[in-house]
Amino acid sequence: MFNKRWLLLGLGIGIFSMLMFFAFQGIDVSRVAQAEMKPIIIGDDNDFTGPSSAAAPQQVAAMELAIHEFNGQVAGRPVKIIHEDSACDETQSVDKAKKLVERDGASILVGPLHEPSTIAVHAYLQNSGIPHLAMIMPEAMHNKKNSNLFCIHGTNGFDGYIMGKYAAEVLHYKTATVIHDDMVDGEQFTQGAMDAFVAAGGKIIQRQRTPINTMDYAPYLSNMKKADVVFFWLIPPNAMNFINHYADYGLKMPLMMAGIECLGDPMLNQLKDKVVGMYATVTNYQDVEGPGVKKWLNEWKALYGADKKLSMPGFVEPCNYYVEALVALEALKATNGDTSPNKLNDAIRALKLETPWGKMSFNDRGIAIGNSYVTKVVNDGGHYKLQVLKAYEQLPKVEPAEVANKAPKM
Amino acid sequence: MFSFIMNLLNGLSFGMVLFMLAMGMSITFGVMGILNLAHGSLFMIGGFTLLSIVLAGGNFWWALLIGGLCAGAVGIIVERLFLTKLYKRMDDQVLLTIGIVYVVENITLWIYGGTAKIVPIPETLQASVTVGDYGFPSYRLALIAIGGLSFLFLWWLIEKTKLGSIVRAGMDDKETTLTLGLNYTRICIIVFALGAFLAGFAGGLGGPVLGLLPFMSMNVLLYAIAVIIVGGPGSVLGTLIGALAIGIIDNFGRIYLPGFAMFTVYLVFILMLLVKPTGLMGRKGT
Amino acid sequence: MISKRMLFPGSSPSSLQGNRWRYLIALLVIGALLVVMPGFLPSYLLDLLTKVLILSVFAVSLNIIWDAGLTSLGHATYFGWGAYVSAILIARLGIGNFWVILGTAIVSVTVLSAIFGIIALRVSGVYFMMVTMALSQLVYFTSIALVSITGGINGIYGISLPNLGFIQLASNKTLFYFLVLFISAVCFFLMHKLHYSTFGYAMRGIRSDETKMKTLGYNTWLMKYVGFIVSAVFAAVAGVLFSYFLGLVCPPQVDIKTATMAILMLIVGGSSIFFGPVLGAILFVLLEYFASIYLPTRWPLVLGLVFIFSVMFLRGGIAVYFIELWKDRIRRNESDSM
Repeated sequence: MFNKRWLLLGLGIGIFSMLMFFAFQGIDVSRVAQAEMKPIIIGDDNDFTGPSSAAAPQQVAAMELAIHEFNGQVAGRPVKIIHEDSACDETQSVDKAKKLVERDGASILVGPLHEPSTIAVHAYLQNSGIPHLAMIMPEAMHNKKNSNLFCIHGTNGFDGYIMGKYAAEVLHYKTATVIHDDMVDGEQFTQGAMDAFVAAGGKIIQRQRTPINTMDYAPYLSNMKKADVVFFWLIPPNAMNFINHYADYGLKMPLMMAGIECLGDPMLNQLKDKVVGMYATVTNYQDVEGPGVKKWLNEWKALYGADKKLSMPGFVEPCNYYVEALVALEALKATNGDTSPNKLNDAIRALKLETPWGKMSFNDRGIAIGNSYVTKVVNDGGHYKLQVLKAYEQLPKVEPAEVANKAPKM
Repeated sequence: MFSFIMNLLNGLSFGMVLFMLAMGMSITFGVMGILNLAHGSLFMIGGFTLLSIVLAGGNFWWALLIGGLCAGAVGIIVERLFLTKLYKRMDDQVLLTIGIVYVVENITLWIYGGTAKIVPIPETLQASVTVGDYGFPSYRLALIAIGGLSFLFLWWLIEKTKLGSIVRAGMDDKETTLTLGLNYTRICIIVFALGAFLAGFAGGLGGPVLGLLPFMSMNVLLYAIAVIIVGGPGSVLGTLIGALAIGIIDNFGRIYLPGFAMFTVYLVFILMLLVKPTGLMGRKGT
Repeated sequence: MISKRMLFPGSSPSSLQGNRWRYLIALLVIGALLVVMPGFLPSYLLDLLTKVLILSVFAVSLNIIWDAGLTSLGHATYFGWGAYVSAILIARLGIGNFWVILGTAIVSVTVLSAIFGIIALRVSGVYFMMVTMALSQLVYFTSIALVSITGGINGIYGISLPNLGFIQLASNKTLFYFLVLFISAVCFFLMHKLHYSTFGYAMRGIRSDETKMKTLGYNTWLMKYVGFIVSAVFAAVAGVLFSYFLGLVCPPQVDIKTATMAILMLIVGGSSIFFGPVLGAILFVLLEYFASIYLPTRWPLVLGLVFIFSVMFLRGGIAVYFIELWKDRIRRNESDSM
């Protein structure tokens, strides 16, 4: 006798088995497929939902642009990228990394944007040893020689270091007040700036740590002491609010952000005049002028110009993702399609890459050696963008040992 | 001296935003006993609606009203479609609102993207007023003024009008209200709509101060709950006192107790819950 | 004294006995399947199963106080506490022995929930929800603030699989699965005994009518308090296992979002049946896994809609449907045999 309940049960079992089928299906395919026809997989543990997800579509597009440049194949084998969502959550990142490595057979993993997730995923990748192209280099993870970790961005402290160096050596500022999110990233970025500043003879007169969920920066602004410059680092939503309130409260000290990584084109153009004059350090970004960048942007427009949402990279992360994909593809080319982890790791370490932003290579600790730029926000006829003031060329992107931790603990 | 005044003014302006945010939740909670966890989402809806209108060239003040109305509309829909079906299932009503938080958050993310948004301040209020060494934005002064006016209006509405007396009757003694033949369902709709409208209005008003982000609803909600517990649900004056208190405590806490800034508000909240759950000026019987 | 007979007035002794046998057999079959699973499943599916087991313990532990009518929005506090305690012991104090860690977690969470219980149980209903939420937030902020102990917003990472004293599980995920299976089986056994004991029935009595229970002579406050602590202990056990599973702990594990996850598993699965939340956990893990593959950006939306749907339409949860089906079959069998 068929009643509603049995129907529902049957439906439930049906859906369940279908899902299980999909789950198992993936394994069979990879076991049965011939090695030559099987595409090389690059895994991308990206952030589609969650707070760092602003540039996700552009990040994916940037990686696919690199694949497009290689015509979707390397050393005679097809290559593709599988993108997964890590949701800025450690649990999810590791789950997805597992899926990419174990089920999809990824040979290289491009890591999440979120620092704790990167650490978690990296710990997981120690089993397989496949190259981990991290987007962020947590302090706790570098200093290992010849490991499988590579980061084109370098350490957080490095961005700050460049900023502090510029402030003291070029602009001759003598005193600074610091404000940052009360989290490890914030500490590291600003520590870099503080170290460089103090090493060049400057003095830090104040350091304010703000809770991450701060929405109103008024108390901190009213409490800010007068100095030659303000060093700050905040996650994107907070940075927006901070700069907005800073301008509203009429404070006049120059703002220096250690790394524009968390502010992008759409955000600069929302803040408009309030953000003009702010300094920032960047590595790869669309506003860095040069023939290589121009060519790259034209490629971007040719491929994505039609899509309104993807009219330009807009943030630093997509540019970085492009370079990461380039690293992966060039390494695969160098090993001639050999995906064994050791060969790939060695190949990446030996790379001498030509990116739109100049030459790039890695040191033996997986940190990139490349160009960094100090820039300033300017109003270019109604469009707000960065203008390069000074280029620091071919530096390993880590704070030099003699400068590290020079600043007093505040 | 001036820094003290600045901190006080900062606390007051933040507190006023909290007042309007919490007021909506206060009457909903007071009358219907529902803890509407989606209240932060309504706040967000108001703020984002205002943003869209202003960016499209609309007038800020009209945008405020429309933002409030949008939030009010969503509130009525939620109330009619879902909450009435769960009449008397208090726990389920709360759980439902949690689901709504997830839905609204993701839809907002879908429409507006994940970057934070800056709400442009109307032209007339873009200057700042000098207080000693510092400058205090006139928008925030306007906020304090608007907050004060809203308080007077709401106080008049709840304490002095017939509508208000019906609402208060619903808060104090539901059974008697029913036996007096008053349409309780209609009261619920009005109360919920008013609460949602206030949330949306506060969202628009608070936009320039708090920024707009699809993930802000929980953050904002927790402040609202703290305010209504400290001030007492259902009481307009209580909510004002609670909001200003929380705003000022939060501000001074951030400067003078930097490591413990986040705790101060919660400790006050828990203490109040233990000592006098009906809050400073709460009505008995809720 | 409430007897089981009084609570199930419609059932005859024989059907109750018959039911019990069927119940036991079903459990044994499922248990056997779980034991042999590692032979069939690829490792990432085994991981999902491990996660299901851990989250089931978490969800069923919430049911202990949920049954008494206490809607806690802060259950993740104890779950996260268990996870943090194990991480801190391993990473900061270098203690490796799993049993020591488990013991410390249990003892410390008993103390914590004893303190929090006194605070939370001073109020009831909606206020209870708010207090549990606020307490959860306090622990959340503490975990972010005490950077040197808890690793701040980034948490503590690099937790390798447990050292059982006589075996070092190292990188053997299958052995870890068996450990989780064993521990969760023990937990379920204990919670099951509690659920069907006098204490358990009394807790459910408190939910339906606390005043009546009081007039019958029960110290309802004490019962709620004990239930509160016991549920916290089991949540912490799940938390300890979870920290090993993930290899790291972070503040979101004590956050309200994790608590709502448990609540979702509870209401979707069904809080009136003991194993209901387990079904909820299975559904939740599967849903999360597949939704984030096929609909990555819209996963939270799906979650919210499932929440709304279950609250509106699944009164009693999915488990209730199965039980009704089961009862249908039995009733038909009985009417056949009459």
